[in-house]
Amino acid sequence: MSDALVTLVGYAQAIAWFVIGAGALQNLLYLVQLGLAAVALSQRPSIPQSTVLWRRYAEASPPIALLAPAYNEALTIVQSVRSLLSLRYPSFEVIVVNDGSSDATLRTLIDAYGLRPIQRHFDQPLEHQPIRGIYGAEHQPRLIVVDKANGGKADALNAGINVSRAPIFCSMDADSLLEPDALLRAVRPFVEDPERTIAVGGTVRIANGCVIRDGRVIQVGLPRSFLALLQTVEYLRAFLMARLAWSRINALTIISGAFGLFRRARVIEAGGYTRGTVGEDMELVVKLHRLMRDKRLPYRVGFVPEPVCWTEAPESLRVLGRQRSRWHRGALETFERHWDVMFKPRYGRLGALGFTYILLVDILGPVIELLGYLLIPAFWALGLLSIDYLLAFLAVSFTFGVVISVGALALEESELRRFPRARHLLILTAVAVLENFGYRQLNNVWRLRGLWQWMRRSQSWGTMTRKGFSAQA
Amino acid sequence: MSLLGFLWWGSIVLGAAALAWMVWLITARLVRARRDARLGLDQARMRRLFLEIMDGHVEAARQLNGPSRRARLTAEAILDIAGLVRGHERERLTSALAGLGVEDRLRRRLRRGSRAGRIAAAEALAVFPNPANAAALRQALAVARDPEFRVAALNALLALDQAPPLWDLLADVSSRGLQDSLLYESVVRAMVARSPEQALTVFRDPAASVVMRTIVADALGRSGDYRAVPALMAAFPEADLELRIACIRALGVLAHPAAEPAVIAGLSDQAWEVRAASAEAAGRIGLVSAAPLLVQALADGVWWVRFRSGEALSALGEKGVASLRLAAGVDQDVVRRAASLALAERGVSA
Amino acid sequence: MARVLIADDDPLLRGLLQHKLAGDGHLVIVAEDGGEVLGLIREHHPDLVVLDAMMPVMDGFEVLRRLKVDPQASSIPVIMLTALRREADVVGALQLGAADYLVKPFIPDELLERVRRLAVPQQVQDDDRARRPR
Repeated sequence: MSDALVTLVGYAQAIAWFVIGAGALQNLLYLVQLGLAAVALSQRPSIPQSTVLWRRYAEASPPIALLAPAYNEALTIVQSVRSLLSLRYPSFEVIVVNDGSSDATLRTLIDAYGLRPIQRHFDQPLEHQPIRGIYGAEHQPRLIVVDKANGGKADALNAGINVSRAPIFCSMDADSLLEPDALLRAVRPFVEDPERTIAVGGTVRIANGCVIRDGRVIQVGLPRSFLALLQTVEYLRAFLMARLAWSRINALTIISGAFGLFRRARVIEAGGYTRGTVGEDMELVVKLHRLMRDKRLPYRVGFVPEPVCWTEAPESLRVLGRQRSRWHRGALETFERHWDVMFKPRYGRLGALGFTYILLVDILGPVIELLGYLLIPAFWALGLLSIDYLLAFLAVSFTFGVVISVGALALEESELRRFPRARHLLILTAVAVLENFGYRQLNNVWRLRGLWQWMRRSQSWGTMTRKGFSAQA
Repeated sequence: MSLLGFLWWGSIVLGAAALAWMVWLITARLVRARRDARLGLDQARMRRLFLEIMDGHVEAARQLNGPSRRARLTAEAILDIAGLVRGHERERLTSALAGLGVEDRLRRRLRRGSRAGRIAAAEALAVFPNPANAAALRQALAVARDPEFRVAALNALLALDQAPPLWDLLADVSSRGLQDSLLYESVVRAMVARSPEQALTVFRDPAASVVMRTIVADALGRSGDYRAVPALMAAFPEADLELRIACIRALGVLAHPAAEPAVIAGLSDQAWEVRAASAEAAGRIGLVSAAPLLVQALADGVWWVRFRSGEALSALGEKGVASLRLAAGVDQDVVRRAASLALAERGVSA
Repeated sequence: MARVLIADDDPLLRGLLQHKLAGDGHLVIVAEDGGEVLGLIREHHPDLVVLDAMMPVMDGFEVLRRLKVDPQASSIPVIMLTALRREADVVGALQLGAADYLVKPFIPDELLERVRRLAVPQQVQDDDRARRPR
């Protein structure tokens, strides 16, 4: 063997070890998550019946302000508000924030509920675009509509936080469907540990294929579109496994913009939502972590595994790809702003685990993995690597993936059982296997695109992009 | 085996295990589907029979002989009925069920089986007024650690009028570090509402911890018992902030005019929470004498104090509204805003 | 005999009331959620409505508000029957025009008595309506 070849083999092996090592570490983290999630679920079993939930929690539940930002939702807003007002919760108000819609969103609401301009005394600790008017309904004291100049979702939520008075607010997307007992379920951590709990996330699921009537999921079903099916399994993995696991060790860094409960006073202390970012939902949670750790106060960011919110998944590759690139850009922006938490012992698990995980799995992961797909089979074909390397690479990028996906599904079935038929499980098992061949790689490509967009945008910082209100997980 | 080989074969083994687990779960689901269907039928039948018994067809109880042996099923059905109906019809049902030996089965279920079933059994025992049930609940409470079960058992004892002494509960709660749980708070409230005298004794007891007194102060406010006013006022000047807030809030909820000195003092407290709560209390009591201080508070540095003061003034009738109108015309921007918005929220023009 | 509309999403409560009211000689119509109520009122012209507050689709307070501004339905007495017992809810419902407010758990005979008192069968109007083309 020539020296040149030996060096080449050496390089190839080094690259292979790096790729395989990174993949193995990533999978190890996933396995740990799966274990943590299983422990969390078994320690705190879900209460399936909502009558039981009401009996145990209604008396002790604090008031909640539901903030629903709306941008050009004239067609659906009345229906959405009506189903929000019919949630099962002892004390809440709905604050719709019309974010400078260019359509008839405000007019429609005024007509449907007989709204009149009202005066409301509120403080302005958070900044946002000017409020043009506040409206109330004479006979529906639980509904407030805030009309403001356009400024994006974060801006609208900040205005809603200022106007609200309840100690807890719920942020959501105007187009997500809430379970009738969503608030009662999500408030449990606030009731059980009121001093420490500052935020609670909830599980979001895919509504495609479910029977929906009057803004409510009547029966859980499976999507017909294969792309949406893939996302169903993906959401199980993201929520039931990853987020539950992180919340178990109090290092949850993201609460979906589609549904989350927050302690108002703490959010104001943290400065509210950051305007002009793509991932304001993730950013806020990180800011809350920092606030509490800086003040050295005990705190908890909780998570409820039961599905509380349903969202329509994109069924076209183009839309899905755009969504994923945007999410990834959001994660990167948050990371960019807060990367220093990794190096300060004060931030404990948040930095050591949460952020290292983001760096490894979200930022470097896709790059390394895609690199692996190109190089390792090529090296093997060229005879630079033995079959063992190829198999190990296949193990970390496919077989372990199957373990994790199927594991998450198994967790759902053994603890929550929300899919009504055995046939659904069979289909989902197949999808859980298949998602590792193609979809996972596609996702990595989208993330790479998000990375590219982020790098380009980083150079021309300051140009504001308006974020659409499509469902975000 | 090399590390690489280990990765490959390890992943294969784990993958096969995950798939096997899933297959097992799907099989279990098929079996469960059949069992659940049967359970659903039993539930429906049991509820129907319950309605018949309540309607006076006591002989329907005979048909319950079989199904009522399942303690959790029965407990849940009882709870569903108890959430809807009270009065003699419900008593007819519970005595029919007692005749079938349901109490005995529920008592046994307190210590056995799934957690959900134990909690349901404790909750269901609340509708059977029988000393043996209270004894069983107390016994279960003595050994239980799970807070949800404990709260269920306490609530049941409370419903049976057999609650443990308030002192014991409070001491227990604070020793477990659970004083924060709002679930316990609602148990304490219910207990204090039932016997305010006992609560007052605890509240006045020098041996009671600040945490205990804070919890009791809140509950005394909600009990609506005016006898608590002097005690709350006496405790108000205490150094502890949480206790001060709890006292002034409680005085506000009780809304008795005798609280005047405490409310007036509270309006210039150093903690804004106390100032805001005092303003709220002044409004609820209708304390016209507080009006000048409330007007001053319209310039407070904290929004909540300004808001509550405006609100209170607008609740004080003629005099308060007149002061607000005056304040709405002053130079100071925050005061003007607080005053005019308080007027507007009441639907009064400035 | 009066026509009574029961609106509640809990099948157990519907069963209970249906049985109870039918036993007292009333004609019972049921709605399973808030969205059905207004349609059923227009269709059946009940003499009384027993209304839950927390229902899917449209909550009871909203149903009550719409009912009271509907000229055809505004005179129908409404009894709220709900688990909500906060002061604001009770007062709010009465301000909206509810004839009565009962909190769950309730005493069935008490409800029956209140129904008897409030539900006045509108025989004359019924005949009237029968002649009117729909």
